Amino acid sequence: MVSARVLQLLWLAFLSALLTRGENENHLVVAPQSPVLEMGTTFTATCMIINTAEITSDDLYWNLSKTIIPREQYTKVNRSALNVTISVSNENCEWLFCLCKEVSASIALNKGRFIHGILLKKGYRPVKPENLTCVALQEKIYISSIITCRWDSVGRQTKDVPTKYTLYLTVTLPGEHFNKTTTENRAQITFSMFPSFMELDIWVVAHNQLGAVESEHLKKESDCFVKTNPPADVRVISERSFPTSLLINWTRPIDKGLMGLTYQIRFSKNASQSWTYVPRGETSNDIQSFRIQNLQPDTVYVTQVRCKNAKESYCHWSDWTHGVTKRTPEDRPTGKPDLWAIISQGDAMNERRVQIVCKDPVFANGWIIGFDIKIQGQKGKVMNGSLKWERIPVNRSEEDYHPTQRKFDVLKDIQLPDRKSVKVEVIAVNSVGASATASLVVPEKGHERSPVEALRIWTQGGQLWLEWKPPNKSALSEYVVEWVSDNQVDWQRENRSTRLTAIKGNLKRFVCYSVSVYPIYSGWPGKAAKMEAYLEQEAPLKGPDVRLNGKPGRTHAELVWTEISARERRGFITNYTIFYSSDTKHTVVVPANTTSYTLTSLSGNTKYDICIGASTIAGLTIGSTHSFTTLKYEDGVIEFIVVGASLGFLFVVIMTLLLCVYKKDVIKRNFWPQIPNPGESTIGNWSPDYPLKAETPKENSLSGISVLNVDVCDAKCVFEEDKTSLSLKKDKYLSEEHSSGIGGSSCMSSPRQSVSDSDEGGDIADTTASTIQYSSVVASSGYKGQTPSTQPQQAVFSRSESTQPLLDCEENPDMQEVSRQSQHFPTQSCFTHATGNKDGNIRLEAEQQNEPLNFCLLDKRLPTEEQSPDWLPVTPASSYMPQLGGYRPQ
Amino acid sequence: MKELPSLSTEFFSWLNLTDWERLHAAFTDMQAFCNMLERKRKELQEDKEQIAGHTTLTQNMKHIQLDLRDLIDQVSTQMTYMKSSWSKPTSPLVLNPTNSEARSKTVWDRRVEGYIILRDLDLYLTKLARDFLLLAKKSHF
Repeated sequence: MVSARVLQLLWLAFLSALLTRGENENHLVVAPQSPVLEMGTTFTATCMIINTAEITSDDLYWNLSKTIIPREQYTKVNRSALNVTISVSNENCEWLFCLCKEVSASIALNKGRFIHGILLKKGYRPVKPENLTCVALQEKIYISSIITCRWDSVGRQTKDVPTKYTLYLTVTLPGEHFNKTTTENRAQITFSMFPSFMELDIWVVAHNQLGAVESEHLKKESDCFVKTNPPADVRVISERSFPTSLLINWTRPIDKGLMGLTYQIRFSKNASQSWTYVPRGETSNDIQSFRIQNLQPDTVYVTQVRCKNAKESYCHWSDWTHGVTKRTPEDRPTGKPDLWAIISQGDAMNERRVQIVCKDPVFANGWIIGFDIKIQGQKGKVMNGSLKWERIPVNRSEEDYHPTQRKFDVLKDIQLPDRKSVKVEVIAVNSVGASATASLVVPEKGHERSPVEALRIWTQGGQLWLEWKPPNKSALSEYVVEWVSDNQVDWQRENRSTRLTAIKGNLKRFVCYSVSVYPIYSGWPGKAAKMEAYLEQEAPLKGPDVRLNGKPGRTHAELVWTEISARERRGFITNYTIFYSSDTKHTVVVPANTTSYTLTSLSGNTKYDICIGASTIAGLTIGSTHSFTTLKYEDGVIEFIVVGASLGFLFVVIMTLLLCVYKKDVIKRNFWPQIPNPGESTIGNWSPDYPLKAETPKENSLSGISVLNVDVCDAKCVFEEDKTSLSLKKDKYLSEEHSSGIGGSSCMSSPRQSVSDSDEGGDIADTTASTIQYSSVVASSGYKGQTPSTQPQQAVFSRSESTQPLLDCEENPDMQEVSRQSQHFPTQSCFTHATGNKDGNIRLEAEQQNEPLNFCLLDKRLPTEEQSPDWLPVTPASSYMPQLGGYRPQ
Repeated sequence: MKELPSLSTEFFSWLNLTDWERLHAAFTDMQAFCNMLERKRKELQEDKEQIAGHTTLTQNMKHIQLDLRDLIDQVSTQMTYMKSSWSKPTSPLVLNPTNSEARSKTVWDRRVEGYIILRDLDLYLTKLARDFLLLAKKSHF
């Protein structure tokens, strides 16, 4: 350290001397110049003031990468020198400046003279190179004169202080030296000729500005560095008489005089990359052929060979030869075929369908050409003919021959009664020979031995795992695990100690497998323990289709749905969810084993949309939507209302009838008041002249004209005619009565109507008809006049309606005539006015005679009978028409 | 630095220079700068082998050199045009003897030299531009 310090000061002195004669006249100088620093160390630099007394070391400061170094790191040496100590941490090279504060104007003006800098390069010390190896390759039949060495460079280096490597090689005996410098980690040295059988000393030195270090020495005979070519002409021979072995031949790559060789052989089955190495001891001698044994018959093997110097164990191996492929010869099958029986429901009752199925033995050792099968009944009774073996040939394609999964052949398909058992024996046969016999008993139905217990299935790592407890039987020999889906069956065997296994078959996801575990009691299968399982579950492919069972009620509806088919289920259904909505949405969850549900508490007369979702643990799928509308009324309500109403109506009717029956008299009295019997009337004795005059005064008073045109004789004749046809024309009368009544009422304003009235009469003269009509009116007046009562109007009405037959029966010609005349009177007056013939005059006189009486009667009647002027003509006409039947003959 | 052409001149003597003198001075001065740059660039390149990260600086210096060489050719053409007898010196001035001296200097001093050369070149080119302006103005009269 002290010497370094002294050196630094000396260097400083030299520099200052150098600078003093330089024209730059720099006043600051830093030492050491261009240092190379090791990372992680500290570094001290000195700044010296020269050729000026203007400044002191107190005015100096340091700057590293444009940042001022804090004063704590400075050390003042004397008035003109200042030290700084920095730690080397950053790999990048940096400038370290010594600067001066601007204490005077001259310094500020000559800044360039008061600055000095040094460049700091940083690096790491070299580290010893490792794993030095050198190789000389074989070139044709000799060894190459170039030796290539490689080593691993250890440690770090920076760009500014790179590490260089120098490879040294010494051929010991003649003392020949070679070296080569490089920055890489490999180097080549070229001899004039490869120094065979010489000892070589090889090492590498790593060095940079911070130091140098030497690697381990490789001191070996030169042959050790030789890497020969791989063995040539490798041939593999398969011999038919040795199905489990292959013979390998090869030629040595290099002359025996140059090098003794040792070999290594490896092989792999069916081009897999897992190699089996032949133990070195077998091939250490300088051999050129080898027989590999204990191979599998009828299997393709790939074989490779390599070699190296026999002398030293650490010499270089040659490359492997290219793989030579060869198939071992066939042999008779080893092991038994895998025999199994698939039992299903038979065609007939009490029968089973038994399929005898068989897989090739695990080591078929060749091409299986068929199976020999023998089926016999339990007590030596032969099934299917004889006790002889039956050959069932099988046709295998190339794909079957190297299957990714072992397939099976159906050997026999038999119908077996439930109460019979058979023993099946099978031998697999290939082109070389036959295998051992596999046997299986199909026991009687229901006589199987006890099954395994506590079977449990779960999925883990993409496989179905099974666990069970063995049945309590010591005779157990093995287990068969069988799995079935979509009529595809497969099985695998497990030995008797197995409690936990995974199904080795290629299972599909989302498919339901029925997994059975059969314990086998020395060829006798026991009862199976079954479970269903999915390798993986997802939501069903489609939801259930829902429909209504029957019609919806007012507040309830029964839903039924179908189960999803096994193919679309894709998992175990955990539950169904019923979604139904009108204005609001509702859901109901029902268990998976139900397929119907009755919705209650629905609103009447409302449309509901329903759909059902089926859930598995992986999700839910909703089926099609179904809509329905609930009833407005519950079933039977309408019927109830109708029946009730009918009953009520019936009750009312019955009550009314009863009332009528019991209160007949009261009702009769009320509706049909007692009318005196006209037969008892004294009218028969009454003079007909009286009523004749009853109406006329009224008519006259209305028309203001009193023309009486009564021809008593004519009227009488007509009357006689009328009487004969009365019964025949009764209907007509009714209508005519009205019309004539109207005619009567409107005769003044419309004479034509009267004419039409008279037209109906046919040949009979107008005058006659008119006369008859008016005479009837008068007749009624006559009645009233005759029997004046306290209720004249009612009396008149009752009479006109109910007593008509009486009138008919009466047939009093006098009476008729009287009434006819009286009716005739006013109408006639109209016409007579118009025509003005002689007869009119005569009637007038006759009327005049009656007038006084008529007026008298009318005067009495008017206030009671006539309510309004309109009624005047109508009332007499309508009231008395019926009774005018007497003169209807026209 | 003594090798560098002087930048200072008296105004009237500069104004009264003949065209030929002016062009000839430009030619020799530019030659001098070109040589200085070449030397400095090589120095830097040697340093670069030790210190990484100076490629852009040396490249830029090379570009300046090429530009200067073009300008020298232009001036030489003009001079040949003025005096057909004049011919461009085949090889530029050789400045090798200073090389050993330069190597003895510290890294710092070499850097400062580089700075001075580039600073003086900058100032000289400003002066040269004025020279050319003056020449261009005269040719218009």
